[in-house]
Amino acid sequence: MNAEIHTLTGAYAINALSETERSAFEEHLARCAACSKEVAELRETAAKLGSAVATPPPESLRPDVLARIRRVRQLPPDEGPIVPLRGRKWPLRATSLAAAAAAVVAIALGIQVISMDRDLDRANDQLSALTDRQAQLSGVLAAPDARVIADDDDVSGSLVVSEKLGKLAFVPGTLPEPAADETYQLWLIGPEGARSAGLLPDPSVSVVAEIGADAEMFGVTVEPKGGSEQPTSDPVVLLALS
Amino acid sequence: MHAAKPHRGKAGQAGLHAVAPAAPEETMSRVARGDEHAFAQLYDLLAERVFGLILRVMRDPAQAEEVTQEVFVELWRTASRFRPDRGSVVSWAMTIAHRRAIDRVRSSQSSLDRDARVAAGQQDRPFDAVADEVEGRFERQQVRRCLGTLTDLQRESVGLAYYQGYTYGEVATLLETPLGTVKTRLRDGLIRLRDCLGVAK
Repeated sequence: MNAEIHTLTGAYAINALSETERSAFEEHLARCAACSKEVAELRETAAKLGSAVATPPPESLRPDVLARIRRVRQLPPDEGPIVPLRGRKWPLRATSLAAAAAAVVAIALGIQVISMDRDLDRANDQLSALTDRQAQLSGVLAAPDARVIADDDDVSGSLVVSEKLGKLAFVPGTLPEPAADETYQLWLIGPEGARSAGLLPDPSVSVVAEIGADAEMFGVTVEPKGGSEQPTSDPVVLLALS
Repeated sequence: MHAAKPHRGKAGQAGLHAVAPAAPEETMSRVARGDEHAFAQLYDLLAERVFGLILRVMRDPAQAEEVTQEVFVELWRTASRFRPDRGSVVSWAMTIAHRRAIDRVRSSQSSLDRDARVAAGQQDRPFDAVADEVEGRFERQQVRRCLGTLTDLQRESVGLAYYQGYTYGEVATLLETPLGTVKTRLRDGLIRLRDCLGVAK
């Protein structure tokens, strides 16, 4: 998730965005369940602000409105909810794989470029780390046996798994920025229990981890900064690997 | 508090919906099936809020009346698209009303007037112009109290954006505050109001 765009929920909920920003945010909103929930709540809140300035309209308005709607045809209902693009699990064909790879690279690069702008001194370090990560990511994404595992609602993130490489790439969805003293930690869960698969340094950037032999599930939890030996909170992401 | 209105007689005469006011969601689903009596009930539930908000944003009573009428026609036309799982009837209607009022004030001449006001640094505070105390006293007091828990910058940002229809960019200009600050104050302020007003899911 892009934390920057997420702060627009407030302005969006009360129609305080320009047309351009509004369209951009609506695109984001369609993919961000947390944002939709927040927008809905802030709209309820705004409705109360509006109700607080209630004023009786002129008496004539009621008969006018009731007469007018008799001449207006109603829209038919929507034909069911929009079907999400991804199902639970499916093998990737080469074309969609290329698209997924491009999207992941674009997300990672976009985020990195922004942070480099802010801190030019660290640009070189970040660039080499990025190149490294990019190479790993591309490796997993381009593996012949790569497959995508996603949530039903595909909100919190998805995995690309390659058994052949023994690696997985976690592509975060809409994880909120953790508190200053917390971090996201990745876990692989097998019959022996949970084993750390590393931290998620930035909740909007994809990471690659080794799978190991016996892992059955992949999870993400919020842990105190620096990570924990074992998960100490309920997973925010939990996906079966097979 | 919106139940006993003098002009609900029509439904009463028909003897159909005279018992107790139905839940708004139930009324909506009847409106979606083309029930004009249900729509009259919806009007009675919403008219003062919708008109009050539009008047607050637009200032001009004649234009506010026109836009209120458009909003109710839109509520009728799009009733089948209302999704109870996405929010309350009141929230749905007020969002549409606010959007309409804002679209109107941001277009053409009224927008020029507003630009002039922005340039002249004229603004007013959320509740100074609220004169009548007809109904919704409790709701109004609660909102007033909760607005009092915000910081000055949060309250001014929310007031200018919501009640006067300024974009957050315009609010930043008016308050001589960086854009990013206004953006976060708007969100923080609304979140604090949400928690204070007990709006949660």
